[in-house]
Amino acid sequence: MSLDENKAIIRRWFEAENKKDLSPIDDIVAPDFVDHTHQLKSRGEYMQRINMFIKGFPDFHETIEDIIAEGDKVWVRFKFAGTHTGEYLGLAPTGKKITVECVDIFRIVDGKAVEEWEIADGLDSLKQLGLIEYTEKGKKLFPEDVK
Amino acid sequence: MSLEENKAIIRKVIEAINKQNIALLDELIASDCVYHMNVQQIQGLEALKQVIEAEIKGFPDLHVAIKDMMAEGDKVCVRLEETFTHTNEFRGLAPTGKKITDTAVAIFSIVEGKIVEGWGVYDQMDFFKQLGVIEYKGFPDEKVS
Repeated sequence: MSLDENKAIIRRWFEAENKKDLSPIDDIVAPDFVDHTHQLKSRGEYMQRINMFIKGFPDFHETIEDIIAEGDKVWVRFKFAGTHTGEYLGLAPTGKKITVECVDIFRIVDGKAVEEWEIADGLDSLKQLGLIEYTEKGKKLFPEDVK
Repeated sequence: MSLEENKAIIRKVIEAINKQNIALLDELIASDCVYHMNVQQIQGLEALKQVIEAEIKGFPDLHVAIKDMMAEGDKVCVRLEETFTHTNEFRGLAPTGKKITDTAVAIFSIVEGKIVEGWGVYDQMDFFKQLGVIEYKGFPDEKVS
């Protein structure tokens, strides 16, 4: 597969997630796909995770800002934006619109994604959902963040 | 510049940080470089050097290991593992003695042998939790370790 073909596979994946149409996933993700960051060990576990996301953030959209490939790897820098209007991990809808900076790294073999690593500004997203509190020490350190 | 030459520039940057020889960055990073760190922006080489120097001061054993690296066109991507111990004051925070490991990724754009722009994404959650700066309440259904 060429670098452009590998990038096209990842673009199709993002498009499927954005459209909430997961029918192309079987063609894109290998059955024994591993997500090292979220400790997912199969395509089925990925499907569970993405469906949970769709339920919690039904309008979510991932905008690709950069896509880079070499060898069997594709790197994607993207922005996640979504509104928390459904239950997510037991958290009742907050109605909050969150945006998160992310980078995903994929390894592709024979036209299918076999491995993924994701690095995201998790602290910022959890702050936006109201799940982070500053300690007394933290309030002194980040006075600009404390209302 | 070839992809390998561009990767060599990034290796030299990481080496300069590990050796705490920040002056070496002058030859590797353009003076008007912009570095996007999560949602923040650092404008210019001097400002970037100040950020790195403050980290080295607060965490004198800072070590950055390259876990993955690739390049295409004028871009180089790295996945990094950083280990450090909070043994000195950092941003006014008294030393906690905590040893921290975190993962970061960065994508750099290199023109004529110098970094002109970079985009870094870090999850500072563990870092701030370890330093006792934040408390994470967790999702109701989440197993918080």
